[in-house]
Amino acid sequence: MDEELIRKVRDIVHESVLPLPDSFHSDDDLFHEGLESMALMQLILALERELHVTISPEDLGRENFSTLSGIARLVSRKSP
Amino acid sequence: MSRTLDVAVIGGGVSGVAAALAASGSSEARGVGLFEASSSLGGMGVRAQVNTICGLYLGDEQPRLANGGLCISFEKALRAGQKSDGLAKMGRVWVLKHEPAALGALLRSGLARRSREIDLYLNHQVKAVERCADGFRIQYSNDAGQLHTLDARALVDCTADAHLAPFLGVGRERHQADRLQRPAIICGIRGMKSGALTDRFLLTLAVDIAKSVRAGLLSPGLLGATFRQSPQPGLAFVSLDLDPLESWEPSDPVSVHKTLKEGESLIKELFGFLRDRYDAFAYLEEPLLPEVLGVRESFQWRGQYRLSGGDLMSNTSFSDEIAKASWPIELREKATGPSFEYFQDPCSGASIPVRSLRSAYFPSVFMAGRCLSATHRALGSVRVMGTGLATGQAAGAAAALVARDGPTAWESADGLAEQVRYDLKSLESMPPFPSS
Repeated sequence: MDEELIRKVRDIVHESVLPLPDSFHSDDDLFHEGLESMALMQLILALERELHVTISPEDLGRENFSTLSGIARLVSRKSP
Repeated sequence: MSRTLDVAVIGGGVSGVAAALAASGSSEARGVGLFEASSSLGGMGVRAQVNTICGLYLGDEQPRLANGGLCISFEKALRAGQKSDGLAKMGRVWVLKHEPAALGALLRSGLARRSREIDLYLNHQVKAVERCADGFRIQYSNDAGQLHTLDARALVDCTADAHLAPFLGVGRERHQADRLQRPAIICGIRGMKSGALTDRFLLTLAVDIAKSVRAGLLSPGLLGATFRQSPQPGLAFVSLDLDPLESWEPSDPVSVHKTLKEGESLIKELFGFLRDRYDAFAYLEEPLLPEVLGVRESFQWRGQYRLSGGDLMSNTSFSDEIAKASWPIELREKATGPSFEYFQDPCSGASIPVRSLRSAYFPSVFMAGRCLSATHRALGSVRVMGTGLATGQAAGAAAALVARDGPTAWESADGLAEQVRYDLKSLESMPPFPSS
């Protein structure tokens, strides 16, 4: 797993939608931490903007969005 | 000659109803009056359609009620009366989803069972309060606009904005905050395909809305619309935090009305989008608009103690504890969504002292719900309905004691809190809410 990418995703989540405690692990559940649909919309836009990927509705699903590593995996699949 | 009540409770939201019930349940109550300016009980939980009760449970793996007393029969009756169980986990914490009309009906039935002890004044507005020999003289208008007066030995202010404070010549406070919390409009959705709101579909909607906003097809104000199924089949709710104008003032009716109207037009736009875009929403009915805006800010009384965010975060234990807060400090100030700060030990809840429910100026005036004495940050936690129910019952029980024995008999906060805890415990054996 690309640690660098996970770190970038973490920064985006932390800065644009949901402040994460230092103890938050890349496999911890973001929804459990309080991610809700309002934040999710902002997160998707931020990921597209910062990481130059296009996320489509088919990419959604809790398996992709519930953890930082899940998001990173999705982003790396989508990267050109 | 005015009639004299023991306790007058002003404001018929969940905290006001709990205050009236607890005041009437204590021994030798000689009369309790509950004044509500609108035609319905339940406050924000009914009139703004806030459809989840937060702060009822402690954040365990298994939900456990944070408070006893009336909260026990209230929770049981609300859950039993709904078509499907409203218990749900949101993030790390448990909530109880409810259908607003069912909440209103439950509160009314609780009061009806105590109709001999509690006079309910719906559509009655308190116009003035002054001190008198027996305590306080309340001037109020009925729905025909006629003025009447009543005396009460003790008062409980559950108006969310500390309405009684200026009448009594004392200031009300709103504590400094860099930004005010955003208000919300919450609307009912009817006419969608049943079972449409799956987790997956909700995620799809979130992306579609985000992308349509970016493409300029939807107003940016719709970013952040949050959908939730109601325990009532065929009903869901959409909640939208709003960005009011610069001049936003939550206590100004004109500002609130303007913001509500802006919210309504955003919701209508959203409904058009949903109808056009999804089969599940093709036959959507017109939105079920709320009577009032969901306002998260309020004015507070100056209490004998001002509860702080730090008290909650560090689970500070008070010897005069009368209720437990269990909801994290939730602040909705930014367009990127809410922030949550969880208590150090979320499983044991945080202590609320009786001093934060008692006026610093008048020992026979108590307050509950959103106008108790707390900092802006602490209100991010204690403003929720579950905690309002708990502070309401405590304020009502305390007011009844002070009305019966006089304020000097209950000068000590520890002594008062101990008796309030005892009285609330004994309320558990005669629950006002129906058990089946």
